[in-house]
Amino acid sequence: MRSEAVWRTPEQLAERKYQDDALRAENLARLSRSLAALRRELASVQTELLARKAGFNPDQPRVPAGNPDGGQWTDGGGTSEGNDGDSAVSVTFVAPGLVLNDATPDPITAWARYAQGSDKTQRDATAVERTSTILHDTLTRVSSTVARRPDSSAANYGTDVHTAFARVLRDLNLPGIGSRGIEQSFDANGQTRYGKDGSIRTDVVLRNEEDEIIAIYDLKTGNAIIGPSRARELRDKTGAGPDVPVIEMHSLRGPVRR
Amino acid sequence: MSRGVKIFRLIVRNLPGTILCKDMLVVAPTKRVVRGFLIETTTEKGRVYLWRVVTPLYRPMSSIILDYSTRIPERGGDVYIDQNAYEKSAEAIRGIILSEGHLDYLKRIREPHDFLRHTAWIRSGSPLRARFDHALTHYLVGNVRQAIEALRRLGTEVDQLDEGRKVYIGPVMKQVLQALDGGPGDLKPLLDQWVSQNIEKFGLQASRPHLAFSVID
Repeated sequence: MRSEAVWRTPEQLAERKYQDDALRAENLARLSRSLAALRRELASVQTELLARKAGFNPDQPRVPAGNPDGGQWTDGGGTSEGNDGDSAVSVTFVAPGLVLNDATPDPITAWARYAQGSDKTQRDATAVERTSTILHDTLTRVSSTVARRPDSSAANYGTDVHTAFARVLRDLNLPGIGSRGIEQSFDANGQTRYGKDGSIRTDVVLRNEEDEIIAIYDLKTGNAIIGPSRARELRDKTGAGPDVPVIEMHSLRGPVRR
Repeated sequence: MSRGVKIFRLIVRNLPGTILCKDMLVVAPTKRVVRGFLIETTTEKGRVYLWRVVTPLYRPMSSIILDYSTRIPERGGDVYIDQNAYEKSAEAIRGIILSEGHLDYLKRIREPHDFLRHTAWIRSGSPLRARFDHALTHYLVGNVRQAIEALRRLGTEVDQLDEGRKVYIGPVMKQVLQALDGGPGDLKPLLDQWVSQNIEKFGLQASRPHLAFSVID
């Protein structure tokens, strides 16, 4: 069937652009709010885990701020009201044991804090599992903030979700991912720039502390899925081993190993 | 002309020690390791990734590999190029390049032994391509025996890869091992040949050291 040509007057085009810009701004504002909430939650988790690492029990009540001993843990007596401010935000998606690296510039360094004492295979598996949970939760939140333009194609919507997801992940700077592990291209020679002939683009690549790729995440929207040949190509071009999971990320279907 | 070239043309005038080679802002001189900055486009309009690049040139490659490079700034906001304000965008990118010692850092990576320092994270469990580059670098800095042992071990490992993963590394490894069969010294001409090919392919001639004699050392 021949597609119908649509002619628009300059005024209509200007109106369309205005609407697009307004929607984009609205999406961005929603994304920004969601990101701020994520940051608060992650900061809360980090505080709690640092406290655990230092031997504190985060459930132990603290002396209220303003008191000379404010912030110190108490024996539970007195009038403490427990956590305050942002730290009261509930943590719904981060498994215990994860330390994010807001205070650590190098994401790889933060890996040393994962599952200390376990062997490499177990450590990697734990990291993949936890990261998958975080990524899925992040994707769900991002997807809910990105509004689909009434006349936009499924592909355009997919691009918008990818863009927003990548933006949030860059900001979160997750261990083993950092900024480098987002939207990376590879060809047979190694990492390359986006758009090079013969290259593939990954959405997220997770590495261990030896810089080995331990999971490849591919974001999908709508009905799209990762086929076996695509999964194989992703592993081959990234140089990942045959056992490295290629994980399909979909906000509704959840993470699926391919 | 790409956006990257337009931006770097504006920057190179005010950034001594750098030369624009194709679309890469190169820190001169280039010997066996190229250092510089690259701009990578993204699917988001106007947004780019700015890379601080360190790439060894002594293996064949179709484009500058970014395995040892870093996106900058490492923390903070995204980088955008405004097509209506190139001068302003160039100034912002120049600011990033000059911040946090990126340029000075690159200036300190001139030789293969500097590259070893840069890649000190490479270990026995690191990706195969990284260990391959590591072994070649050790060869070039004079750790010949250890390098050859490592390369032969890697050769066995490559043999066991499935075909999809051998596409690039298989033939390259074969050439390396064939050269070594002729004697430890026979690998150097092959590596020099790859350096020369890459210099030409990536248009890096202008950044080469201007010596009276044309040798890499």
